[in-house]
Amino acid sequence: MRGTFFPLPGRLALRFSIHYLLPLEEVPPQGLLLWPRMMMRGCSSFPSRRHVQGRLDELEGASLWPAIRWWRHLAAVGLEGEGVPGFGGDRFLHLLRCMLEEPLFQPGSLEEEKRHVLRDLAGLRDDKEAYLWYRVREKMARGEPWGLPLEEASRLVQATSRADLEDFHGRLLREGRLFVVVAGEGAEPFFASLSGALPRGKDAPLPVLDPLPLDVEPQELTEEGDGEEGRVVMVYRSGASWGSREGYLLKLLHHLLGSSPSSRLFQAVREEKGWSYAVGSRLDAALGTLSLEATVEKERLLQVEDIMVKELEALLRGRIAEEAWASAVSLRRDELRYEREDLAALLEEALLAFVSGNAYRPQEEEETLAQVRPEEVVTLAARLRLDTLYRLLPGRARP
Amino acid sequence: MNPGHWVDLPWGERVWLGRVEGGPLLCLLPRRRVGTAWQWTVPLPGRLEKVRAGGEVFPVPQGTPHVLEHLLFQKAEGDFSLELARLGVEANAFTTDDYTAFYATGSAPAREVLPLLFSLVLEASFTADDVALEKLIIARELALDRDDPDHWRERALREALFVSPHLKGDLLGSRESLDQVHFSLLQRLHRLFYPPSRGILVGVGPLEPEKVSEAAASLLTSFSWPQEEAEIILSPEPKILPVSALEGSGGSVHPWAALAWKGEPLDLAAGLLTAVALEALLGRSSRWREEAEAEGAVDPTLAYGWGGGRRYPYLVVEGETEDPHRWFQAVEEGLGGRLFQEEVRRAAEKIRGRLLRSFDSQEEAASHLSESLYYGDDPGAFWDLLQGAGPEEVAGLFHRVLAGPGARVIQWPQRKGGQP
Repeated sequence: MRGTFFPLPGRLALRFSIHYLLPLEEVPPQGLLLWPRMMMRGCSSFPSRRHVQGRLDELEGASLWPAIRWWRHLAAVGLEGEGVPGFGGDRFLHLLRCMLEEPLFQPGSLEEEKRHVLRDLAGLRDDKEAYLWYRVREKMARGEPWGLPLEEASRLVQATSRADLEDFHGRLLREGRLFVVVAGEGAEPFFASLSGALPRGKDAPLPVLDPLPLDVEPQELTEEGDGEEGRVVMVYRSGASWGSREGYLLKLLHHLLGSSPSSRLFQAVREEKGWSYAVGSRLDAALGTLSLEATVEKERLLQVEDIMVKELEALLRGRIAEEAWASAVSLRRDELRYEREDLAALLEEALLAFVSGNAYRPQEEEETLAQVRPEEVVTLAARLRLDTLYRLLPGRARP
Repeated sequence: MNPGHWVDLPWGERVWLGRVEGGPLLCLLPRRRVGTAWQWTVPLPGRLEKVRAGGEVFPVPQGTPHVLEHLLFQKAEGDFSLELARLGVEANAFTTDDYTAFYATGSAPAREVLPLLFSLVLEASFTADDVALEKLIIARELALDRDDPDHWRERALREALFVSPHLKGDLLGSRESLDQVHFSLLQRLHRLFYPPSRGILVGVGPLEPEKVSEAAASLLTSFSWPQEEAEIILSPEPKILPVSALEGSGGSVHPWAALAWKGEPLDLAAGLLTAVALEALLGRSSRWREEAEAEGAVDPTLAYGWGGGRRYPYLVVEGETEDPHRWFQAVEEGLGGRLFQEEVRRAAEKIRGRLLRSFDSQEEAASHLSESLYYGDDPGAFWDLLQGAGPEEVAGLFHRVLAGPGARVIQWPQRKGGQP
């Protein structure tokens, strides 16, 4: 079993992730979208979700939830969970082993779960931010399966049969590479006990996940939405890999431009103009993208886009105030220290390290932060290529 | 400085409690971690109607405490976030029904963070121009909020449950109420409710209580504060409901239904033990839930709990459904179930385990401790309450709430015809 553990003595929680990593072809496998949710629906010894949940409740409210991540040609599918220290004894392992080895995929549960997923997909528009990012991802993928359109996702769910789930389950455990991360109090013994309890998957190297390539034709898309506030997103590709020096620089660029209230976009759009409540940037370290985003009334959309471009241009001309640079480095250094104590962040970083073919080396990033100069970030910024400009226009306000 | 004392927490940690002379109540939870989470809680509630001070009573427009919370980040030298970022510290604030809170997290030592936190909370150096600019930002926040179906759901619940306008309305205010918020009112509220002696300061991280309290005491000498008594005035809220059923249109794709009860001011025991009852009856390990989901009467959006703070709380069970009347019938059946000892014990252990885990986060621990002190509970009191929870006590508290005034609320999707 591949994976890692982060023992953190004295902590009040123990968190883990169990992923089977599966290289994907052109077409998303039937069963992929429903498999994680159906895992919670029971197995031979715990024949329904009530029984699964009952066992978790008995373990002082341990949590277990389906997990699915999908980057380009690679899917990570499995379960994540958390409990109080000591929760992961034999009774929990019995449940976990049963769920992974003998899932039931009962037809009644499958139909119920389909109804729920189809409702969620139809209701995605209620969460405008989630809807926007689903659509942005769909457009960024340019027809590749990792940007599955909403309509296609619904069709896929609708068409999934019990046999599809059984096939997918068999394939996942046969071809998937098992990767486990545990962090918290008692991480080491729990990791050891998982290694003896889980189906092991395929023991073969995994194709490395590269960042999105820089040669991209930019696209500009505008969608008519509803509600009062418009949204704009500009996604840039950097070509920076997770865990590389450039990947570290990309994080600094994120702090300079939009990670926090002290960043340039927040200052220029919100604090100086009063045009937006939520403005900043977001990073996808696995794909190597940096996105600038804002919520804004329709009349200001173009002006805010203009500010975003200008702030990036100012940075390209090397206009980084000494204080802004010092703050960005301080914020990233602090964030990095927090990550090393944050259970969820440790799990995420370890998984990204694995799929990127790198090791998790926070010490190396800390050393980089001690030496890095603003010119290096400017050089990286000069390489950014616009991938997608997406506008979600507001519609009619409620009376 | 009043001498502090240690209080043991049931899971093996301990907190230090003391009061800085003329300053805040201080609560420190020392931990071997890199970072520290700080929270400063101010007794200015997000919902109030009037204030009595200096022999007069003056009205406070809805949303004013939230505007003040925003404005404290505006200092003479500019946005205070820039100052905090130099130390790698991230800070923010929030306004609840019952209080206002400011928090900061970072690995910088207390001697460097505390001067900034004290300045953030205690210095009201914003100008009238800052007020005007901040109102623009809050107008955008309100618009963003109105795009969220949860906003309309809460509005509908409040419309059904409360009579007083300040309890019906939006805590953030409205365009009209914000027009009435002026610089002088904000400054006055700051003087009245933000004195250090009225605050609660909680720190969770690698802290030495004696050093922190000395640093706090020394910092307080830089702030002078006029002594002025102030009292919050709220019109009494009648026990009756304006309506027992309310239907309207919301902004969501699917219809939504809720059963809600107006509660009495809530203490920790009542809050926790009614949550145990709900978990035992409606949780995913209950037989009722399994059957109701299989029949399609409820779905995974079913949620339950207390809302509205502790002074004017309400209990709500809510969820999306295509058939609200069938949903009401099913949920009422679930709520009428018997509370068995085994289910109550399991639900109590589940809630206790989840609360304990949430204490693992520095920020959440600071938030829990701040709430405990603000409401006068012993830190960690939830542990014993949940450990000793028996079915009779749980059922007694729960049925008392359900016997109170309750309402059925439905919101239909707007785009499918609006008002039915």
